[in-house]
Amino acid sequence: MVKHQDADRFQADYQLVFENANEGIFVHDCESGAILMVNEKVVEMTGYTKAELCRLTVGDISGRSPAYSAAQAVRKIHAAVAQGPQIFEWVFCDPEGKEFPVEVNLKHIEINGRPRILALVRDITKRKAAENELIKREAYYRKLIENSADGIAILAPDGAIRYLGASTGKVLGYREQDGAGANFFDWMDPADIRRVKPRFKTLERDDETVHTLQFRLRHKDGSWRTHECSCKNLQHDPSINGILLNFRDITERLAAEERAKQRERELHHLTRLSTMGEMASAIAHELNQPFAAVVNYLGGSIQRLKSDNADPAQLLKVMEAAQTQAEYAGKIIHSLRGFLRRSTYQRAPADLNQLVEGVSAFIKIRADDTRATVAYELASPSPRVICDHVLVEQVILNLALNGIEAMAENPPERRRLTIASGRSGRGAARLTITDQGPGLPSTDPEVLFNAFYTTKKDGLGIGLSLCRSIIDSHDGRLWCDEAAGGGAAFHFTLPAAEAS
Amino acid sequence: MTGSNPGPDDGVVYIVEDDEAMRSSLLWLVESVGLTVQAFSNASDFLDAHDTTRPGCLVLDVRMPGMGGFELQEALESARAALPIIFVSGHGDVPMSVRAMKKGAFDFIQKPFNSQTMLDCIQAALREGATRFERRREQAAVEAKLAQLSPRERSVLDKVVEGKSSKQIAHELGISSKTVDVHRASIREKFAVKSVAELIKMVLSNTS
Repeated sequence: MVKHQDADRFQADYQLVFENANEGIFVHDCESGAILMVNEKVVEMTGYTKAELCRLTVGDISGRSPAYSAAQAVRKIHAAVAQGPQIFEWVFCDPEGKEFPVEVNLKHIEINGRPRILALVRDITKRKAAENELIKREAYYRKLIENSADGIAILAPDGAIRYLGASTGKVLGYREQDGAGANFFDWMDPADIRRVKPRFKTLERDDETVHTLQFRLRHKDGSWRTHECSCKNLQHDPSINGILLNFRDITERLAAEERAKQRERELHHLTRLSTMGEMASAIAHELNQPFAAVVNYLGGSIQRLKSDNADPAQLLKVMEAAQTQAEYAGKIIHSLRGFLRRSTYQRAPADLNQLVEGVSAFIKIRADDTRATVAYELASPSPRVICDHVLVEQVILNLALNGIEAMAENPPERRRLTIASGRSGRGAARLTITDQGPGLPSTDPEVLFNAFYTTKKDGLGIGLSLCRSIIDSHDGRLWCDEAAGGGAAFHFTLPAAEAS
Repeated sequence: MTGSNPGPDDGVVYIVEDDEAMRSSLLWLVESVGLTVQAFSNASDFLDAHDTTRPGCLVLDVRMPGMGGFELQEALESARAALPIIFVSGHGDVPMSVRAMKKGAFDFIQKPFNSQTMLDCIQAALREGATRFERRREQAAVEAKLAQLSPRERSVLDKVVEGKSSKQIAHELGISSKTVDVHRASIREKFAVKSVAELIKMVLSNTS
C-alpha cells in the first residue's frame, strides 16, 4: 500500500514537472501521429485549449505551407521511430492564423508499455528574428563592400591573403576566389615591396594606429595602378585575425593633381612674364644707367688719351668706376635671368631676409618710379624657412608692387612701404608688407584673393590668388588686415627650417 | 656743384642728373674736350646756382626724384632762360620725346648713347645757346630803352611801328603833327638809331 502511495506521489510529481516544463511537450501516437497529450506550455504557445489540441492533428496547428502538413508531421514521427531522435524546425499557426517558428525534438519512448513519440517544442521566434537580422546585415555589409570603390583585403603578416573583399574585383580585377593561396606582394611593384615590407614589420608591433601607405599594384589587365592604402593590425581581433587593408586606386587623382600643378606652374610662369613685361621699361632704364656711364667713362678717357691730356692716376680711378658700373649691369642681368627661369617645385631651407633682398632691386625700381620709399625691418638673425625660393620671391615681389601701386595717388610723404620679417609662434616665420594706401575693401577683404578680382585697369587679377595658392602649397598662410596707420598689411607665414 | 674748367666763354655745360655714376661719367666725358662743366644732382640746386649772365646749354635727365626734367624745362621757360636743353632718357619712348621737342627741347638722346654723338650734340647746343644768349641780350637792351620812354612817346612809337604817318598819328592822338615829330626825334635819340626803318626793325625783332 505504501508502495502504491509512493507511486501515486511520483506520478503527481511527474505530472507537475510535465505541466511546468518550459518547453512545449506533445505526446503522439506512433502510428497515426495523433496528439494524445500536451502540457500547459503548448496551450500557452499555440493558443488552443488542451481539449481542442487532443482533437486536432499536427497539420491543423501548423503553418499553411505544404511542408508543414499533417502528412509531413507523420513522416517525421515515423522517422523518429525508425531512425531515432529527430531535431528540426517547424512552423506552428495559432487560432488567429499567426504563424511562428519552433524547434522540434522528437524522441521515441515507451509510456506504460506503449510506444509513443515525445515531442519537445521550443518557440524560436526571437532566435529566428535575430538570425534573419544577422543574415540581412551580412548581406548589407556585403553589398557595401561589393560596391565600395576601395579594395579590401585581410592579410597574414607575410602578405598571404586571408580574405579578399568583393570590391577588389572592381579595383584590381581579381575576384574573391583569386585571393586563395595568393600573396598580396605578388601584385605589388618590387620597388614598393622593399619599402612596404618594413612597414608591415612596424605594423605587427602596433595594433593601435592606422598606417597609410602608397604603392603600385598590377591590375589583372596588366596595367600598373597607384594605390593609397590604410592598414591596421587586427591580428588580435578574432573576427578579423590579420592585417586589414583598405586600398584605393588614386592613379587618376594623382594624374589630375599633377595636371593641376602643371597648370599652376604655367600660370605662375605667365604671371611672372607679365609682371616682367610691366617692368620691362623700368628695367631697361636700370640697365641703361650703368651702360651709359661706362660709355661716358670710356669716351672721356679715349678723348684725353687722344689729346695727350691723360693723368694716369685719374684714368685709373675712372676705369675702376667704369668697372663697377659694368659689374652692376651684370648683376641686374643675372638676377633677371634667375627670376625668369622656369623652375620646378622645390623645397629647400632658405633665409627669409635673403629672399627679400633677392627682389629688393626690383622693388626699388618700381618704388623709385613712383617716388615711394621702402623701409626694411628684417629680424636678426634672419628666420630660416623651407620653401621654393623662386616662388616665394615672386610672392614678396607681387605684394610689394601691389603696395607701391596702392600708394601712387598719395602725397609723397605717405608713400612708404614697410617690409618686416620675424618669427610667428613656434615652427613658423612671418613676413609682413605694409603700405599706406587706401586700405582693404570694407565689405569683405577676402574678395581680394579671388582669382580675377582686380582694381587695376590692365591687371589680370590673378596676382593675389596666385600668391595665396603658392603660400598654401607651402603649408603656410596668407592673409591681410588693416594697417595701424591706415593702409593695408599683408602677412604670410612659412614653415620654419629646423635649426641647424 | 662739381667740376669747372676755365676757358674762353663759349658757354657752360650744365648737367642735371640724379644718378651719381651717370653724373660723374658725363662730367668726365664733357671735360675731356675742354669745356666748362657744372654738374648737379637735382633741379633745384641747378636753379639756385646756375649763372644767368653766361651762355650755355643743359644736359637734363628726364626722370628724377623731386623736380623732374619737364618741370625744370617749364621753370626755365618762364624765367626766359636762353639755355638749349638736351634731354637724356633711359626710356626714350616716342610720346615723351615728342613732348620734349614740342616744348622746345634742343634734342632728346636715349641712354646709352655714343660719346661722340653726345659731344657733337653738346657743341651744337652751345652754339645755339650763344646765339640765344646774344638775342636775349639785345632784347633786354630794347626793353630797357622802351622803359625809358614816356607814356606819350610809347603811344607814338606803337603807331610808328604800325606804319602810320605823323599826320595820321597826330589826328588819332588829337595832337599837332609838330608835337608828333618832337616825340619821334626824342624816341630816335633814346634808341640811338638814325632812321625810322632801323627803329622799326629793332623793336619788332626784340618784342613779342
